[in-house]
Amino acid sequence: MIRTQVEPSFEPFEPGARAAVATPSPGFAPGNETWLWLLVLLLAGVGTIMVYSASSVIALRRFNDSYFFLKKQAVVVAVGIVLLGLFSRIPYRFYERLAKLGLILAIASMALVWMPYFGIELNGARRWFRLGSMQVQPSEYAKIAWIIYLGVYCARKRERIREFSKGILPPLILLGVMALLLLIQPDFGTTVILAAVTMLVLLAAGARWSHFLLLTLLVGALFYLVVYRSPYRWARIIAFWDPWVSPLSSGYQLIQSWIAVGSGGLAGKGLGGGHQKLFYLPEPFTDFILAVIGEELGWLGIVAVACLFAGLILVAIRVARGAPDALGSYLAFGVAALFFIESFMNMGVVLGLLPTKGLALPLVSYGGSSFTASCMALGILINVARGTEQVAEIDV
Amino acid sequence: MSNQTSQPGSPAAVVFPRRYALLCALLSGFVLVGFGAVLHKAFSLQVLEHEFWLGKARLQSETTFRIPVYRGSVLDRNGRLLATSVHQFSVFVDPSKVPDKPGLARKLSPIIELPAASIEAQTKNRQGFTWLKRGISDQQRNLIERLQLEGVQLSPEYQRFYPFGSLAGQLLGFTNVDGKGLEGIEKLYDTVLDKEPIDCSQLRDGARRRISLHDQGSDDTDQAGGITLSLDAVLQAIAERELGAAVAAQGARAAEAVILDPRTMEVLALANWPPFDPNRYQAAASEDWRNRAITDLFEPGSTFKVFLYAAAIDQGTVRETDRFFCENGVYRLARNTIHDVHPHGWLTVPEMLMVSSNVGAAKLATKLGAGKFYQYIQAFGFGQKSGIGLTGEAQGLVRPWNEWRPIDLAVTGFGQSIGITALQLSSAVATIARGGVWQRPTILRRALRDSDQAEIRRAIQPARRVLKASTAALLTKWLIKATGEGGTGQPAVPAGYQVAGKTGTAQIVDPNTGTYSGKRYNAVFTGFVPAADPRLVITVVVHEPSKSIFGGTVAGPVFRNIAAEALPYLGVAPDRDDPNGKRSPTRWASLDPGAGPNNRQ
Repeated sequence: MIRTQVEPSFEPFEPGARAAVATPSPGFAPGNETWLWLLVLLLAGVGTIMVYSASSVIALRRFNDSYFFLKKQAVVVAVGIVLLGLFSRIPYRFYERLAKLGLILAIASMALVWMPYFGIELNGARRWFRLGSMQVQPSEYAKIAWIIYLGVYCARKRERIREFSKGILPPLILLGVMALLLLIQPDFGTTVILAAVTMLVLLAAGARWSHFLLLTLLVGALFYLVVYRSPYRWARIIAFWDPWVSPLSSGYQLIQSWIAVGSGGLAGKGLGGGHQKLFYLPEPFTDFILAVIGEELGWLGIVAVACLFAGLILVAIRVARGAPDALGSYLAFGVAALFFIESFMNMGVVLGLLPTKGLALPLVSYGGSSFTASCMALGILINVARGTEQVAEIDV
Repeated sequence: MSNQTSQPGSPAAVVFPRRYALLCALLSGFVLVGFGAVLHKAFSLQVLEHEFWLGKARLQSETTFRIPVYRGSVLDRNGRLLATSVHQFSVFVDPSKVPDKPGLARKLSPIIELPAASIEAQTKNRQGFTWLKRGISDQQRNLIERLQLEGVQLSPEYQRFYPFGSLAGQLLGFTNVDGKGLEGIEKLYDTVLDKEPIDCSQLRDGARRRISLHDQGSDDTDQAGGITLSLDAVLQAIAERELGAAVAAQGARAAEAVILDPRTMEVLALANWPPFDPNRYQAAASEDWRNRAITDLFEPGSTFKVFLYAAAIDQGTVRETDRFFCENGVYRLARNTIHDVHPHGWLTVPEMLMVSSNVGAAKLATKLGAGKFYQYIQAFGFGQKSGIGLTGEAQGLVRPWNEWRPIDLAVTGFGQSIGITALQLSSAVATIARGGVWQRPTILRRALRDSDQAEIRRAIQPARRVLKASTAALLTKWLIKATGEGGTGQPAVPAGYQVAGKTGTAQIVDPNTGTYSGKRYNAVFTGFVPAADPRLVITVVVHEPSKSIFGGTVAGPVFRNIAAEALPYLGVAPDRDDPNGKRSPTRWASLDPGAGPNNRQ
C-alpha cells in the first residue's frame, strides 16, 4: 500500500514545467504538440497511480495480488502511448477514404456484443465482447469512428451542411442507429456524449440554428421516452436530485462519492490513505476514480486534475482554430468536444452535478478500451497540430 | 452569416469561419464554466462541508471493538503459576457471508473436531456472528487460515489455563469462557484479576469486514498484574497426594487437608479429594468444584476435646493433677449413655486427653459449665466465618449455650452436636501453637492490579488472645503426650519430629433418621509440628473410611506423611532422635550442599 503522501505538483502552465520539457535550443516555446504530449502523459501518470491506489485492496481481495489492476493498466498505458505515437504519424487526410469503413466496423463491433459467444454481460449491461483474453468495449472506439466520420462528412459537404435532407439528416440517421445500438446495451451515457458531440460539430461546421433546435427537441423527446421507459434510470435521476431518499439503493453511489470527496478536505488524506475505496465506493478505480482523487489528494488534487483536463481541451481548441483545412478543424474540434463532454460528465457525476452514469474519466480511469480510444483521438489531434505548426512555419 | 470559401492553409480554412470561431469560443466558455462548476462543487464539499462528510465517513468506516484483556495470573508463594492467561484464537462464523455452508462444515470439521452436521447447523440456524469454537490451538489456527474460508474469522482471545491441572483446583476455581471468575480465587479476586476491557477503534470496509493491520495487536495489554497466594504448590501437591493415597487405602468417600503456618496464619495448602481440574470444569460434577475444607461442616469428634481442656485449664476449673472417674467406659446421663472405646477407671486430666476418654470429657464439660465453654468456643473462632474471605465459606453450627440441655453440654465436650470446617479447626489448633493468640487465617500474600497501580496489600489480620500463654504451653505438653507412647495419635508422628496433636473419630448423623449412624464416621487428626517451635498446623479429615474408622489410624498417617515430607522441604531441622534409635538425620535441607539424606555416614 502506498503510504507516502504525494502533493499534486503538476501545474501545466508553470514555467518550471516548460523548462522540464524544453528542447536544448534556447528561447523555444513549446508548441501545441508538446503541450498535448505533456498533458496526456501527466493525466495518464496520475491515472495509473490513482488506479493502483484505488484498486489495490480490491485486487488483493479478489485476485490475491494487489498489483493486479496496476499491471493491466500499465500494459494498457504502454499500448495507448504507442497508439498515440502511431496515430499522430497518420496524416489525417488519410481518414477521408476510411471514414465510412471505420463507421461500418464500429457499428458491426457494437453488434458483436450481442453475439452468443463473444458478448459479455456485466451488471445487467452488454457493453463488451471478448477478444482473446481481453474485454473490448466497442462503444469507446465507435466514438472515435463517429468523430472521424462526422469531420469527413462536414468537410465534404461544405455549404450544403445548411441543408436539411442532404445536409444534416444523413448523419442524424446514422446517429440514431448508433444511439439505438447503445441504448439497448444499455449505455445511456455514451449516447448522450455522442449526441452532444454531434450537435457541437454540426454547429461548428455551419449547420442552421433552427436545425439545431429541431435536433434538441428530438433528443429531448427521446430522452424523456428513454428515461421513463427504464425505471432504473428514473431512480438514478431521482437519486441525483436527492440521494438521501434512498441512501442504500439508488442514492448509495452518490452519497458514498460525496463522503469520499468531502472527507478528503482541502489537502486530502494522503495518497493511498482513503477509506472509501474499501468496498464503499462502487467503482473506485473506474467511474469513481475522481472520488478517490478527491479523498486522497483533496480539493487541490481535483483542481490539478481539472486544470490538466481544461488545459488539454483548451490546447485542443487552439489546434482546432489553427488547423490548415476544414477536415483538420472539424476533427480537432470533435476531439476537443469529446474530451470536454467526457471529462465534465464524469466529474459532474462524481460530484453530484449530473445524474449518475457509468462513464469513465478519459485517460485516468482504469480500462483498456477507454484509454486506447482516447489515445487514438489524441493521436489524430496531435497530427492536426503538427500540420498546423508546419503551416505556421511556411507562413513565417 | 458569411459563407466565403477558404483555401487550406489560410487562417480561416473552414467553410463558415465566423460560426466556427463562435463555436470554438463557446466550447472554451463551456470548459471554463463546466470545470468552474466542478471546482465550486468540490470546494463546497471538501472545504465548506468537510466536517460533515468527515463525520459521515468516520461513522461508517470506523468501528470500535474490544481487544482481549489479559487476566492477571495467580501465583503460589514461590511464584509458581497456578492460573494464567494464554493467548489463543477463537473461530467464529458470519453465516450471511458463507457461500458454501456444507463445504465449510466439511472442511472445518476435522480441524476443530466438531461434527460437520453441528457446524452446518450453526451456520444455518442463526443470523450474524456465531462462535464455532473458543480457544483453538496454534496448529488449528494455521490450518484454518490456510483454508481462507469466506465468512470464517479468527479472533484473538485469552484463555484461562491452569498449568498444574487439578492442583488446588477447588481453591483456584475457574472462569467462564469470557474470562469472568465463577468460583474460588478467580471469583473472589475477579475485580483484581479482571481488567477494564480496552476499546479500540478500527477500520471497517464497505462489506462490514474489519480491516486488521498486522502491527495492531493486543500485545500491549498489561500483563504485570496478578495475585500471589500464600499457598505453596509443593505442600499442596504433597497434601493432595497423601489424601488420595489415604482415600484409596481406606475406601473413603472424600477427604480434605489444611496446612497453616501458625507464625503468620498463612494457608500453605488447602487440599480436597476428589480432585478437580479447572481446565475442564465443565466435565466435572459441580459437587467436585466445592472447596470442602471451607464449605463442608463435620462434627469434630474427639479433636474438639482440645478446646474443652484448654477452656477448663484456662478458667482454673481443673488442675493438672485432678482426677476424674471414667465410669469404666459407660456413663449414663439422663436418658443417654456415653461410651468410651476402651474402658477406664480413675484418670488424671492429661491422661483423659491422652486416651481420649469421652466420659472424662463429658464430666469436664459439665464441670466447666455451658456459658464458659461457649465463650471459649466462640473465642477459638467456631460458629463464625474464619474471615479468610474465600467464597462459600461455611459459618459452622454452634447453637447458643442457653439452649443447651445438660446432655448437649456433655457431648459438645467430645465434639458432638456442633459443626465446624477443617479451616476453623486448623485456626483453633494454631491458636494453641501460637501460645494462645487466635489470628485470622489468610490465603492472599499480595495483589497487583497492573504495573501502574500500587500493590493492594492484604488486610490486617485481626488477632485476639484466647488462652493464657501458660495454658497453651501446658496444653501443648499434653498434646505431645497424646501422640506419644499410649496416645491415640501415635501414628501421626513422623521420624525426628515431635507432634502435638489430637485424633478424632466422629460419628456422622444420618440425615434420614437424625441419629448417629453406627457405620459412617469421619476420621480426623489435627495438630502442629514441631511441637516445640511450631512451623506447620495440619488438619486432616477423611470422610467415611470403610476399612478403619479411627482418626489415629486413618487420618494420623496422612498427617505423618505430609509432615515428614513438608518439614525437610521447609528446612526445619528434626528436634529429637529418630524413635527407631538410628542416627538422627542431619539438617539436609540446609544450604550446605554436601549434607543430605543420601550422604549419611
